[in-house]
Amino acid sequence: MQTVLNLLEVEPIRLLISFGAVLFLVLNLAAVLTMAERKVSGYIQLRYGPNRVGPRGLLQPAADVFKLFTKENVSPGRSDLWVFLGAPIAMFIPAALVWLVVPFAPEAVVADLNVAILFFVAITSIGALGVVMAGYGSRSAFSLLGALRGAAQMISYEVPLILSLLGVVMLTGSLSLVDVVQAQGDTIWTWYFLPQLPMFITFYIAGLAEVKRVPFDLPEGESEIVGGYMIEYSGMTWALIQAAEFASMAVISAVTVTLFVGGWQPPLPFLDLGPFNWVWFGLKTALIMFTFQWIRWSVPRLRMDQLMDLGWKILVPVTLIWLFVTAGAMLVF
Amino acid sequence: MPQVGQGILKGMGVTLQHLFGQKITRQYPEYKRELPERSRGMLTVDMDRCIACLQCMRICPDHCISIESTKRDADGSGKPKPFAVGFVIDDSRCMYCSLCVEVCPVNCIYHTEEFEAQAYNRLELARQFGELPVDPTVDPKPAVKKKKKPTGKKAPKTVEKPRTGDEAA
Repeated sequence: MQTVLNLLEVEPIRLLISFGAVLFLVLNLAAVLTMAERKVSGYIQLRYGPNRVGPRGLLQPAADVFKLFTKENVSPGRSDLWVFLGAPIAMFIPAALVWLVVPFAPEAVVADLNVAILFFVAITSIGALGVVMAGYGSRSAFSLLGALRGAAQMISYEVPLILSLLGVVMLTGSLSLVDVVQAQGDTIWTWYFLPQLPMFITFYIAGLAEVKRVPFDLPEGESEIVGGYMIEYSGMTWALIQAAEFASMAVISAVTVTLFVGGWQPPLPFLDLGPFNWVWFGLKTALIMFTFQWIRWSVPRLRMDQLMDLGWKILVPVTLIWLFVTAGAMLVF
Repeated sequence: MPQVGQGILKGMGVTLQHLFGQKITRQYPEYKRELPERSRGMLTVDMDRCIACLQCMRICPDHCISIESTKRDADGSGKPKPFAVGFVIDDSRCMYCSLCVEVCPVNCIYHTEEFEAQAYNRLELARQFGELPVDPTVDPKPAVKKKKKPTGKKAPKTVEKPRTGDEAA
């Protein structure tokens, strides 16, 4: 037993095993989130949601995956096949990679990079590439329009997303996510979402736009461009795109929690669970993910020009102003 | 300015109330609600009362009722009367219009509360009620009263243009 544990300390083995664990987590998270999505939507619409497969419908994701595995993978006749088939992978891998730097608990982080925030920003911006690949490779007008919208939206909202991170970076003085969590302390009023409230809200809204969820789901507007960039996908390629969307939603929630809501830190000092502090991280992340789903069924969509207005005319100025406020406050106190 | 975001918060409050609210879904196969009075389910026939008048067969817009009738002295009165030896209702055609129920003079055809008509084969939906099976696939041909042809109406004359010799030339 001891030798096995020692083996886990050896560097390439530790990285590979923990990366495998993270992949396992991400794929299962996608399955759980599809289930949660349908349950939450059902409950909000006064329905029960899926409740036939297994107890209270809990085995529904397994049935979905089984159905999608048995379906044929259809690709359009004149599609650019390599780009078409590569796009789901190009969407999924960035969403899974960001989990490498997310700290689950004090010691439980796959790679404690000293530039973890930069890594997060860099990797999430690759996600736009997958969207463009999907739209271009399908050779369909709907797909291309959806991909153009998606690219415009994701690149525009990168700016407020990055700017809203800077306040946290300034307060912490480090780009490492572990340092950010440790700097927030184990009381709820020392977490960064209070001094950085405008930044927190901006990051939340920009994150919603970044993962293309409902008030900002223009890349897949059902009323005008049907499924958007994923219209031509079927079977497991479609499932991979869905998994990538849910995984990136989970990543944005986890990073929001890490940066602003104290990561694994308990809300009050006497609630410290020691080695089980990852429970706090999980609870907070689940809460943020639930608000994503809650917003999805409450808020109507924005038009494309409203979306751009919100991004460039409101979010960017707010973050810039609060950046100066933060800098001034740090200078004075 | 203080109004910004109020609508969103209000809407989210409504959805949150619904999230924890009483669900209105009826769990159908486990729980069946009571049908309202005079609801139209699948048809059934009381063959003892049927007098084989064939009115239901004639009025049915979908031709879903087929009756095979003979003369038989069923009630022992010594006088042969029409008797339905075969009676089939094809539920794959019935549209539950209730015309046959209204037209029946002895109230022997009526709706039940059954409404789950399903089968793996279309022919399984044809329910036989008589002694002899009737082929439901053959359209019943109800006797239609022949109307008298209207007299006094002349056939339109076909007027031919007298051809002149000039055209041919």
